[in-house]
Amino acid sequence: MLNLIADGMQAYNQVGLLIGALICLAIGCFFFGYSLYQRAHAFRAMGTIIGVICNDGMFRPVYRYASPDGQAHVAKSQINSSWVRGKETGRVVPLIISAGNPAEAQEANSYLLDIVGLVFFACGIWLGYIALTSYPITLMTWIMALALIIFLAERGYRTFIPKAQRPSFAEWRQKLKTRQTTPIDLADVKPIEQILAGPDWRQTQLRKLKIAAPVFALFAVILVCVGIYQSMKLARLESTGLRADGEVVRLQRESSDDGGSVYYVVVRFRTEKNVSIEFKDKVGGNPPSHRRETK
Amino acid sequence: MIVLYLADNPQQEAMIDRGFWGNWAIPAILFLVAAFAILLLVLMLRGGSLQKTEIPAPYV
Repeated sequence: MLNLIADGMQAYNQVGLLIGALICLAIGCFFFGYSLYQRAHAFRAMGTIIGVICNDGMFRPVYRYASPDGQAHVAKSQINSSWVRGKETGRVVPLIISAGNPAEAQEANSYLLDIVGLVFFACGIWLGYIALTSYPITLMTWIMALALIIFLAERGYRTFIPKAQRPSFAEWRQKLKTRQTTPIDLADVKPIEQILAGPDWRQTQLRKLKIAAPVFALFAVILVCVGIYQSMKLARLESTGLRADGEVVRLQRESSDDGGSVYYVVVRFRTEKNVSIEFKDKVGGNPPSHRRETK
Repeated sequence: MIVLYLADNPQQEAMIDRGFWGNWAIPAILFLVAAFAILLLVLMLRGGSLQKTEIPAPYV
């Protein structure tokens, strides 16, 4: 019975990791694919930043550019951020303009979407690798996968909008088109210099800085101190330490901060004086990095 | 597996020998995260001082 529960928990972890891997891969492929599609299909032009749309401390640049037929257009960036640099009014930037919507653009030399996509993709590969190599694929894996898929499908079905209230595909497209073709209200577009010169902005930034800077500094100092301590200890072990064969005698399960479990291996080895020593490894993990083994 | 230990204190000073990269991974990660935190701190301070003292002149 206990074995069944343990197998079930292991399969649950494995399937959870696999689902996480699939979600990360899907998000990564979406971002990276969208960026590649934009680069392949969008047309390019040189644009000038005429200002930004500020919303909750985030700046979305607005560009003016001329299309190949010589017509002047205004487009807003698809990406907004709190980053100030590079958004100076009058700055000339190479643009990639969405083929379907001339009012949306992104800077040609911005690879943010590609990086985000690649990070998600790498996380997906990593999670998938852990799921497939750290756990054996058993019948319980398939049972748990089926159960989780049914559970997620049921949850997904509940969150769906009832059919009567659901807009048709044509309505949805019309709504999207209206949103895309809504012209930019130039009254909302302000030079970033004007926003930065405002007293409200300065005070907010200074207040944030007063809180964040000491926290970051303290965090960095602690990390450097721990890093130096670990390095000195390791250097001493590597220079004056001895090596011996060891074996994993058991896994020690401990509760982690997030309420889960972390497994530490307990290793036994014999010193050069033939004294048997057991120690718990300092690096834990879930799934465990080792299994119980014999020498 | 190979265990690395100090002969004069094997109970307290022992670890699994994961090879050069594996052994130094934790200190390296600590230094990298610290460097990242310092970088963010510098960027925040530079950004804060930039906004306090000067406003970038618009390009012509």
